[in-house]
Amino acid sequence: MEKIEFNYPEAKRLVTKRAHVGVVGSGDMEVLLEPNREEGARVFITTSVNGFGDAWKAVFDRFFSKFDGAVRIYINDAGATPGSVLLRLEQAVEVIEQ
Amino acid sequence: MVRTLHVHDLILLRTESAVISAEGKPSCPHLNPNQRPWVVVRRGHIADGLIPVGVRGSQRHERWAGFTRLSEVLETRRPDQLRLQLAEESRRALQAFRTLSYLESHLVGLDMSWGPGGSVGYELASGIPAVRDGSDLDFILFAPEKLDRTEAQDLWRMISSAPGKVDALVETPYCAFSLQEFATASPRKILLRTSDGRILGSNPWNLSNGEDC
Repeated sequence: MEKIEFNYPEAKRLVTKRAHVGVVGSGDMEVLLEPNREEGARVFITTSVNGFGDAWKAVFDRFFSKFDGAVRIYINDAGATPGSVLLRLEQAVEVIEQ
Repeated sequence: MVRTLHVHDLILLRTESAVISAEGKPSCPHLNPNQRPWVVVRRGHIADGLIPVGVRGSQRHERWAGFTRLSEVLETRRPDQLRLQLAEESRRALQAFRTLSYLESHLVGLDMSWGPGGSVGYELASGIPAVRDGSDLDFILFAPEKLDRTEAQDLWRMISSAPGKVDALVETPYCAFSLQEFATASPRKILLRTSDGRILGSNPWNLSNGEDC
């Protein structure tokens, strides 16, 4: 079990909706995305697989190079593949941008 | 005789050197030469006679993805065959095994085939201890025909009342998905695990027409 946090202070666009997608099951993850009350975005990851901090950072650096919402993202990961991580994040964004 | 293999099937290989890497090298770091080499069929295509398999080592992080050849397969066990196998007596008190016997007695009327995967399936097939105190039960449900959303919700409600956490995966002829997500995420798209990778879609029984559910 490992906890990882990232900050993306440049993500300042106001977001009003909340999304909850995914499930905590083998090779998958749960994402809760909600408006951040402060400026910028924050990411909180709890993962069952240790030692992948750099891979998570690469995923979120890429994600926040396109997404600029001031959100809090909570991830509960059960060993999601990088492909599933991106799909789940896209899915959460789709929900809040509807 | 070896029948057609499917994802989640456990297979016993002739030798541990029968697992090769994607580059064709005979190298598997985690198979213990003192144990019989049981591996699990991974999701993917069987191409050029190569079966995608997963190897489980003695530690949680010791997972390895490789390939093997059909000619190396000695025995196979499907999840629905493993379900009827009993764990070693000293292991039966583990929560994942208790959860399995709970489901066995509560799913008597279910007209679909199902069984354990993950560490429970592996331990039942191989006899090698793999289940831990906190292990979930990986539950595989085979649904060749479309599962009604209401039926899925009833089933999920029953499964989630089991004594331990159940990770329930539904296998259709085209892909697999989480029963929990299908039962609770209506009418949103869900994550579908196909042989070509993962996609978001809404009809697991008809991938070409994913928008109509």
